[in-house]
Amino acid sequence: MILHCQGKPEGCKLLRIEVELEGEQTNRIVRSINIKGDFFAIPEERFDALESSLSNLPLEGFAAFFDARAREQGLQMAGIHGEGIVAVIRSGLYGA
Amino acid sequence: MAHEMRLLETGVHDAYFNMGLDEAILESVSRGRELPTLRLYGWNPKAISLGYFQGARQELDLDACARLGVNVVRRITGGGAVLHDKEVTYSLSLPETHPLARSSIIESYEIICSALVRGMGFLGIDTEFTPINDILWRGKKVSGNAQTRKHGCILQHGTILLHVDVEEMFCLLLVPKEKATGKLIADVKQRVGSLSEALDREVGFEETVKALIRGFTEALNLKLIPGKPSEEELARARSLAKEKFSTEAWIFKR
Repeated sequence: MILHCQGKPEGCKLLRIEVELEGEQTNRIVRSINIKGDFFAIPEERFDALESSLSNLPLEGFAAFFDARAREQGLQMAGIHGEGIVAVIRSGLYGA
Repeated sequence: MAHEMRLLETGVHDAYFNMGLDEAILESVSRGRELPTLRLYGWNPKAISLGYFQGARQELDLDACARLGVNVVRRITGGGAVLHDKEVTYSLSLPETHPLARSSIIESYEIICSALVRGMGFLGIDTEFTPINDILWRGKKVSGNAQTRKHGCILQHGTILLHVDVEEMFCLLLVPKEKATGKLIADVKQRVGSLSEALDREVGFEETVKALIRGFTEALNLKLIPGKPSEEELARARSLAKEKFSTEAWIFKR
């Protein structure tokens, strides 16, 4: 399924997310994700690359993976973090 | 000792050239061909700039923008969509090794925005920096700022609102029309302000520019050296405007 969701979780700017998910409630897999919004991530092009690499990952653990990968890439971010992304996805799945 | 910095007052240009010149200056400063540079400018025709990570189709009523002659451009910096009309825009380019530069994004915002706060103070407007990137007057946003780092340089640019038209903003931003009335507009009017509102009179471009120059000079201990963009910078800006900023590939990148 492709889910479109948006939200402004704690510590985040407005995140607009398009995510392709597979699997059931306890075993959801993020096949691909596109994250738009008014957040900051520097260098910007590295965020583009990070986003492209976020495929075939379990939703459980996605937040930690995102944050770790961002650190590895040397990204400085403001207004976005892994937990916020997952919170928006979960609110899209199950309601706020 | 004061930090030497080039001062460019480049007047009013279209969105694509404006973004091209900011990037061209960033490049020339990064190569050491020019001093760190403060640029002050305006926009004509009016335009909306999108943050790097925003989607044009998700944020904007593109038909309304076209109908009203509002250019749409994507910035190289993050942050939110901004309607550029009655305002003063600044950009500051300096090497990451400069004494005023900080490795932390938030700290850099705080330092550079302190100059804007000081400048608006010279107009008699008491504002405060609010992380991440805003300056508020009595709780209302009067300045938004955005920053990136490329080629070993920091570029921060931002806008100081002289006048704001919330109804027009709602025409151009993609807000469901049934929502863009009454309470929501009233709510945004509570959160967005302008220098003209703060002083209860029309505040002009030139007087704001003068106040900002004084603010930058004093708050950041600058020795500003008036100059002009080099021919190389102008040529690069025109090229970036044509080959990058005005292209659909860039505008609809996300």
